[in-house]
Amino acid sequence: MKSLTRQEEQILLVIHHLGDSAYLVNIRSTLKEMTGKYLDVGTIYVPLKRLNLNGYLETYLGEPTSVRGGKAIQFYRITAKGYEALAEVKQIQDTLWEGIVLPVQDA
Amino acid sequence: MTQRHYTIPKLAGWLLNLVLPKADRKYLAGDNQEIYHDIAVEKGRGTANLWIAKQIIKFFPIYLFETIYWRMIMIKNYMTVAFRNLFKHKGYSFINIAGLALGMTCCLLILLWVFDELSFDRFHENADLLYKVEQDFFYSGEVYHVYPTPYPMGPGIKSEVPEIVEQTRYAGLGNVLLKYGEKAFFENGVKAVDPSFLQMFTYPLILGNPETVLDEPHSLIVSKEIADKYFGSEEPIGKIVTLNNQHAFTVMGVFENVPTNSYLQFDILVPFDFTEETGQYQDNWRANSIITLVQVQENASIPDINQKITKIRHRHVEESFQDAQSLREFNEGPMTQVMLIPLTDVHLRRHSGSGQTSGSMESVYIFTSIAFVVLLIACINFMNLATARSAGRAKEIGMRKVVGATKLNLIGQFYSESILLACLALVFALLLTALILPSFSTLAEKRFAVHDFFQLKFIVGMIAITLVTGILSGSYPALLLSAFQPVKVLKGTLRAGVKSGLFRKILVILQFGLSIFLIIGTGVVYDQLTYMQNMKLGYDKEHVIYIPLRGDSIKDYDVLKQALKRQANVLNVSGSWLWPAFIAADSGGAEWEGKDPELDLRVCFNVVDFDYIETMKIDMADGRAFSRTFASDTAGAFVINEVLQTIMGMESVVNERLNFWGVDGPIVGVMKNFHFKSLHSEIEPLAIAVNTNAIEYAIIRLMSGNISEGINTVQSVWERTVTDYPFEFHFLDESVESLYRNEKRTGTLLQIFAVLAILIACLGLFGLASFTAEQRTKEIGMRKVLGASVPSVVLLFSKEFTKWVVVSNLIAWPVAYFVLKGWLQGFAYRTSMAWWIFLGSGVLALLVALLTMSYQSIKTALTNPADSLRYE
Repeated sequence: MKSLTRQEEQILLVIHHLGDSAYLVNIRSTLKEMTGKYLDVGTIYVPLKRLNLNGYLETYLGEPTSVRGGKAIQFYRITAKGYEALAEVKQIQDTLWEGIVLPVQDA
Repeated sequence: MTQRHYTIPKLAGWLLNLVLPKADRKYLAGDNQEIYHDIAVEKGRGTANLWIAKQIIKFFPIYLFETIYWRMIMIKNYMTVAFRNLFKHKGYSFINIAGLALGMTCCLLILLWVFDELSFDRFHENADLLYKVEQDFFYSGEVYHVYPTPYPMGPGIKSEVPEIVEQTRYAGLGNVLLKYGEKAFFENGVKAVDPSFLQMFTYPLILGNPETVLDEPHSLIVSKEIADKYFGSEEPIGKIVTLNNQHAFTVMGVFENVPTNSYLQFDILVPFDFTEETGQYQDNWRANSIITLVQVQENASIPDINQKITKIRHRHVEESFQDAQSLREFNEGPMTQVMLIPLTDVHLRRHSGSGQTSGSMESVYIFTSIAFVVLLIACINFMNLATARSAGRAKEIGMRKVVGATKLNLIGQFYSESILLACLALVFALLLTALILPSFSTLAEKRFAVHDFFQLKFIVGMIAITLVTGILSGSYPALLLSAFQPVKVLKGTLRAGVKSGLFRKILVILQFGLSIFLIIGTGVVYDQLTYMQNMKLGYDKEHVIYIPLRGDSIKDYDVLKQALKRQANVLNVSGSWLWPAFIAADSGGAEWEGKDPELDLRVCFNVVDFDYIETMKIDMADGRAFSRTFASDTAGAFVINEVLQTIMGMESVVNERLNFWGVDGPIVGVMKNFHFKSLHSEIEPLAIAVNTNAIEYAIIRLMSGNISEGINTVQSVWERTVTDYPFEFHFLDESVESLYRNEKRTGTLLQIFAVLAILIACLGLFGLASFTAEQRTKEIGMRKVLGASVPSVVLLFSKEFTKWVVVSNLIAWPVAYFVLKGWLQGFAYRTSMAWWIFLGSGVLALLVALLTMSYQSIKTALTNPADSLRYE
């Protein structure tokens, strides 16, 4: 199975956290909270599209709202395949991290 | 709380819409809008506007990638379909690709040739500043363009015209015997040049310092080829060689072999001062015998320079006149114009006048157009077969349209298909070109090699040819097929290629018309060649050999002649000052009593030995030939030809006095006209005189029985009498034939093109015939059931195609007639275009066409109707 990139992993996890309100704008603001940096729309769009094409994500449409200029929302949901991928990544991470204690640095 | 909605500005929205990926455009626009609104609320509109601009820029690479990605997907699909079609109809594909490959091979070869022609002398670093000096003389209102210039002209004009920064003279030393130790060969390419030569032109030296190699008298530089030939692996610098057994020279340098696309061709260079030592140099502004080349300042005005050098020449010639009479005549006559011709033009655009024939802009045009004609014929094949078989593709097109393909998409598909085919054809064409390159090089008298394929301009040309072929051959099918209406197609009401029937007929007629035109051209060129070869020249060129004499072997001429005359199988021996196949010298200033003072005449002349007229078997019209019994003949006597007699306008010119070329003497005889130049020009007035000291060619008539034995005899005599020079001889008839080398080449090339054209056209016809046969399978079956015989079915088939070929003939004949009439104008003596060449070409084309179709039509006619009626 293909391994996920760091960015894809982050996005998948954010989508999981957001649950039913996972769409591009929310994903972007959540990522900002976590990393402290706003990403460009295109920068998020490309991995989202790729995850979707690879079958890790599925999409469904929401209602159009006026603040969106009458455009519908495309929501994302993680598929079973997506969770498998996440599990695999986590397992690799855990194995790699096992028993590692980082030297604590004083501020 | 009522909140204001901030929307993306119109322009930004429009731009964003352009760059957003098509599939996700809708919701992405919404997402952008939402974030824009949030930013606008939080940080103000300005920041939001900046942000959206950044988004647009960020999306641009994504947009590019998406577009290309989907394009590639579609092209991949087109290619898959194209390849499936290609393999499904192997026969048609073969015809298409083979035809295109042949046509493209023609184009590639011609492209190589044209580039080579156009590249003449472009390799010099200051190619645009180099000029050759030529002159226009005026005699009796006619312009004579003269290529050679006087010896003193170069330095003379350089010292007086500041715009001329450098000059060099370039004089051939003729055929020179070059000796190094045991090795001795005749060298033709020995030229004397001023030391500035190597600075003006870019002929790089491998060994030696270009600034000084030619400074010392008796220094000499050689090409790499000559260095290898004489010195092998030895160090060439410092070697002493002798020229004509007399002059010792030191080799000072070696230069790269002169490229074939250089107008100046030489193997060995010596300093120009050497011409003074040999007595070749003439300090005379009236004798035009060498080439003068100059380098001008940048941005110099050429017309101004022309004016200045014309005046300088005039002044010098004026000074050379001794008596007032001729000076006055000189000043009253029209002034000879001196002009600078760009060196890069010299090869391509020769000024009118006689002289060696060489490649010209005209043949560049002719061959380029012929190559494209052949390619066009191949493209027509493609169009014909594609439209004929359009029905087979109709369903696919219908489906594509239903699924949402636009007309533009389909046009794109068919273009990409034809370009793909052109690319495949290109691969074969390149292989074929590489294969026939050696024979083509021989034919074109050039040195082409496969590495010439890799020059940038050739690659660009190659791509251009491929694209042109693809687009040309794909355009009609693309436009025709993309216009199908899906409803009709899918319901099956569209009849195959009905609409395009007339168009196909026109194309086939065009193809065959072009092919017939090329065949007629070949026929007429060959007819003219045969005509020239069989024409009575007025002397007997068979069984005659001539030996060039040079250096001090000239002194041995008398001994040689006496010894040869004693041989049983030598019929006669004489000598000539000029090349016997083409007497090229002429001069003005012939005077006789009662000459019209207005008449300004160029008379050709030659200096010969006794027995010249007898050896060449020239008939006399009046008087006698030169004879030793008249002591006065050596003192100055003329034999003239009938043309000159007619110009002199006297009933009998024998014993009239003629003053010409510094000789004043009686005319002792009149020769019947004979062709002493090529048949391109009419016979000109000629006067010959005897001077045994000026003989440069020994002419020997052998017994006709056993020529090789005769040559052996001559050789053994030569080796006994002339010890220092190797034996070298030429057949006179071969030399005469070499005058028509260019025509022969044109003939051969035309022949090749004609064969290719008819071959490609027949390929197409074969394809079309088999298509028609397929279409009419049922009809034929019905006919046979109703009692039609096999011959009647074959006839039915052939009738239609025959009609087309006949129409092509009617179109090709008049066109060929006028074009070839123009070509024949270049010959003073020309064949009348025989009607049978036209008819024969037409019949030939028809026969080939019938033969091509016969396979298909007989096959169809023989099919059992039971099978054909079950067909489909």
